[in-house]
Amino acid sequence: MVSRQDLATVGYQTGRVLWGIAALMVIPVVVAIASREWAVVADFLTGMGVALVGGSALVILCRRPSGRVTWTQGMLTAGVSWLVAMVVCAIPSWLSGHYGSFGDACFDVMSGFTTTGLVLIQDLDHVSDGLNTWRHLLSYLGGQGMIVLALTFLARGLPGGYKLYVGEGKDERLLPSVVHTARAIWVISVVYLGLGTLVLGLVAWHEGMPPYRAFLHGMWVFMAAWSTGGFAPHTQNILFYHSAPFEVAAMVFFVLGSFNFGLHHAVWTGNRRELVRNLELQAFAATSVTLSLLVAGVLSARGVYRATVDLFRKAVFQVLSAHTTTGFMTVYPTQIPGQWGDLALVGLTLAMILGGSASSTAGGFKGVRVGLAAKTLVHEVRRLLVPESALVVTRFHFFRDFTLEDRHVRGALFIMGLYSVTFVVAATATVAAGYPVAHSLFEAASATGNVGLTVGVTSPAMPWYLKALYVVVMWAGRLEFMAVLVLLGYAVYRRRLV
Amino acid sequence: MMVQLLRGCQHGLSGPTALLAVLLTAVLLGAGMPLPCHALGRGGAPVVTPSDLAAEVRRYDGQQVTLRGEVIGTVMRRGEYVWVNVGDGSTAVGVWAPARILEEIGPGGGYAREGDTVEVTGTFHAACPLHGGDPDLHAVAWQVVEKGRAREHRLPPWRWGIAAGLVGAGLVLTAAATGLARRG
Amino acid sequence: MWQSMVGVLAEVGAVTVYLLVLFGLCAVVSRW
Repeated sequence: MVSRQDLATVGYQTGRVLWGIAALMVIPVVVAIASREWAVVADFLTGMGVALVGGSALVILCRRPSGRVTWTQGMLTAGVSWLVAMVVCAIPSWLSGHYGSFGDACFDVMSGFTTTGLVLIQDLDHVSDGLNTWRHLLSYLGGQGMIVLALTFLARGLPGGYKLYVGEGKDERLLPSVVHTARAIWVISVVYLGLGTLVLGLVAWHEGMPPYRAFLHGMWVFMAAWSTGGFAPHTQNILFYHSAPFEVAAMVFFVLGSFNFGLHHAVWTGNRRELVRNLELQAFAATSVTLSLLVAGVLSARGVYRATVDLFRKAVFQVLSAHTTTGFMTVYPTQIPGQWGDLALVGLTLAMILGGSASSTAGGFKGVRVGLAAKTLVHEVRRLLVPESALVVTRFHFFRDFTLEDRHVRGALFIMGLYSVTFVVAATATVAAGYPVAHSLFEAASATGNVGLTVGVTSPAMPWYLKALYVVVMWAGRLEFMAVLVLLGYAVYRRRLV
Repeated sequence: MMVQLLRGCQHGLSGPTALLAVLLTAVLLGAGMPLPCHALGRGGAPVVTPSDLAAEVRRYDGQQVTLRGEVIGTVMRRGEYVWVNVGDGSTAVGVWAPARILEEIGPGGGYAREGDTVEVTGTFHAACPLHGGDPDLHAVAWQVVEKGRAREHRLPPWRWGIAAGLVGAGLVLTAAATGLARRG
Repeated sequence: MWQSMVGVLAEVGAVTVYLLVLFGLCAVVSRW
């Protein structure tokens, strides 16, 4: 079923991925040297060494493949290389001593790659600048990388739809269009990296941090914001800074980061009207405003926060953090169930499930699907109201104008269904492990939607099987189940052919 | 002093429960046993850790407490006041203190050093109206209990050996791999 | 290049407006 040639290609590509990782480790090494963290330098050199040795061994053993990369090879590479990358990237993290086990380090690395933001790291307030740089870098780069990967599968896909490429296009080219798109994504991300680090760094400096610290925190928090990851250099997350301007700047960048890269590209090439006409943004605006009102209303009614500023910095911040699936927090995890109450918790859970935009680092159902679901509702109601012979046409705009068709609806509802099933499985497992139901629903939504908000379930004390399940759930959710399904579908279809 | 002790023990108990607590405390004190509540800090305020506060914000809301922990991260000056985040390894609480605290506390802890261990007394807010709803502690008194010190991160030479060895081997293999590619 | 810069401004501007709207909603909620 899988030929030696396939394995060779997968091995070769994985080897090159490892080379890439070795190169990336230079960045935390530079920061560690600048901060005089010599032991950290050794940790990363060790990781680099493993990546170089492993990568080169694979490249040497698996000769350069002839011909184009096929779908099988692409899929397998996706699965294998991310796992191998996770293990290798976890090496310097584990060597730092901040993790209870190598598995915990792998959890955090996968959390970074999938831009989730749930952490098992211990004693975060004493973590080195080098390791903090690595954590945030993994989130920033992992976010981009995962998008490129997802686009690889969606190369001939439909907006919001889904198509099983089973047995189809075995010899189709994978690389060229992906390279082109990846380049565009990188340009946008790098420009914002510069802008974001500058803005957040200046704010941090203004708020009382010396320049070098301000720069580091600015860069780290930007990377976490843009990638909608939610990592932060301290246990208090964004609450550490006690700064309204810093929170607002972070919000701007994490909302921007949750946008569809197609949207950035459209706006940057002159199509600014897309900001208003786009179905996805319309859906996101509607649901986020509604949920913000709900949570703010609840918290105000309960007397938790009364002032406008408080409601904005707490209720709105957390709702947007949840909805964009970023995961930044300006309150302690225990405050949400303990002080905010169940209705606010439900509101946040809903926000997490709805999610951000497609083709972005955000997770959840995604705005385009929510929008399509809403359009479908409108369509069905209209059909009921007109005579049976009449033709009802519903339109929507998503970068270009579409007429709502069954395939759009089917695709959207299918993926929403898969998310829901995954969410239910994760929630049930969490309850089975002994956590309260509301907490379990919240945490499961956070893992499935790659959010990162936590009420405290995710911790080093979590049972190992729950940690492992969350790793799988984070990965599956991030790739929108495509890799999982295509692998399954391919296996089934091929078996039937033979 | 007895009254102060008992008041400190009450944590917001009321009526008959308070009476019971008083009686129980009296009995236990008489029996020479430790008090059934937190140790007491300045002015009878209970001594708490950041984890205590973060876990039960409503319980401590509006209470005078003495927070004990390590100064972590950068201390941020905001005009006449500073933010000192006091941590315990699991979490940390923001302390809003007059700038003169800087004369007593050293730089915050991180990778390179352990920060000063402090005991800060003040009112805890679950949602501070002055600070955008932040859970924080407004300090009225403080003392440095233990000065911070540098943290040792000396790696045994064999760790450096492994690192160098792996990188060396890796570079050699990479050269071989790229060399092969060029030839092949 | 110039168009991209305008694009950045447009996006940042749009998000800022959106946040202002949410801030306004908080003001409304706090009045209730």
